Amino acid sequence: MNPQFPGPRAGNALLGFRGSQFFGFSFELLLIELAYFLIVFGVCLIVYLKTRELYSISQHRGLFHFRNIFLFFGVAYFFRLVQVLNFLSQETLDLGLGRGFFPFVMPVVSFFSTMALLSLLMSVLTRNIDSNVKRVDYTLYAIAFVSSLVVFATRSENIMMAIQTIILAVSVLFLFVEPSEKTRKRLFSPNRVTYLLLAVLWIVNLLAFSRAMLSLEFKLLLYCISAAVFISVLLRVQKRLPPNAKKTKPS
Amino acid sequence: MQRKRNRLEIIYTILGIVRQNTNSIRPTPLLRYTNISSQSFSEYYKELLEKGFLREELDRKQRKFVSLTDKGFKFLEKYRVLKGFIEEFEL
Repeated sequence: MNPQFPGPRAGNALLGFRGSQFFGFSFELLLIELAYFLIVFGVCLIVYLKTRELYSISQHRGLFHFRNIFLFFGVAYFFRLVQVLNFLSQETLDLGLGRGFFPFVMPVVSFFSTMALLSLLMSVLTRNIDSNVKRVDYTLYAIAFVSSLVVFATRSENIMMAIQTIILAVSVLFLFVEPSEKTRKRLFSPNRVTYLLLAVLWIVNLLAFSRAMLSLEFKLLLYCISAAVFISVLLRVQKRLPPNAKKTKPS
Repeated sequence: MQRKRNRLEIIYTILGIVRQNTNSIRPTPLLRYTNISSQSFSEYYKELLEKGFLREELDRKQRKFVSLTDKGFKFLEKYRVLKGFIEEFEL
């Protein structure tokens, strides 16, 4: 058996099962996964749609990358759910889309999540980059595409985690070596901490693709923290863009 | 010393000047009131025309005037919200 590839009973391990479990337990897990997905996806969708008008009138590049974070995370979390449901269906319903399905979902998850991580970085760095250069956008797509190709070729979730951890490390390094004193002072602003948490939690979340590394309790804790971070971003967006924002008087 | 204006503030200034002048002003006085270099001004001016915030019109004597589009007016209305949002998320 390919050691990189989940075995026939891998779904149990992937979803935190311990040994043979009954349908009831997996149904519980299904509910947890669905609830977590709905919260994250809902927040991403609301943030993306709420900032649409602001972006269309300003064409601000920082806002463009900010919106992309939530667009790409939303899609990445969707395909992550697809994969998790696939594992679950193998175990409980024996639908067995199975192994053949796995290699196609992973690169998609990899592409969108890499784009989300790169957008996180860009939204922080956008002030220092000549944002009119389209080449920056193409470079981001190229990096994400190459990383998804590598994931497809190796069919390894560990490779995906490694690539994304490297991107995260490089991002943090970028921020530290930035010459601007002003920017360095803002390094640990609540905003950057939020961005860092979004990235780290996503990468830890990828453990859901690996074998039996997460206990159910740890998973629940992880999902709660992750959902809380997303909701905190939504609340900040709501604060800045209240529903009656249309009535704002021009200065 | 006065703080250097950022890109968004300069755009707001340009559009605000056009609105103050009953939404019709010639490019040269606009440049003067904006108080930036002519090279920077032409870059901003071109961008604002391309993105549809401003439009050029000719009068009977074929003189060029600049006026705000609906998008330009909307930008002025939403400027405070936009500025607050950008500061909040350090964009």
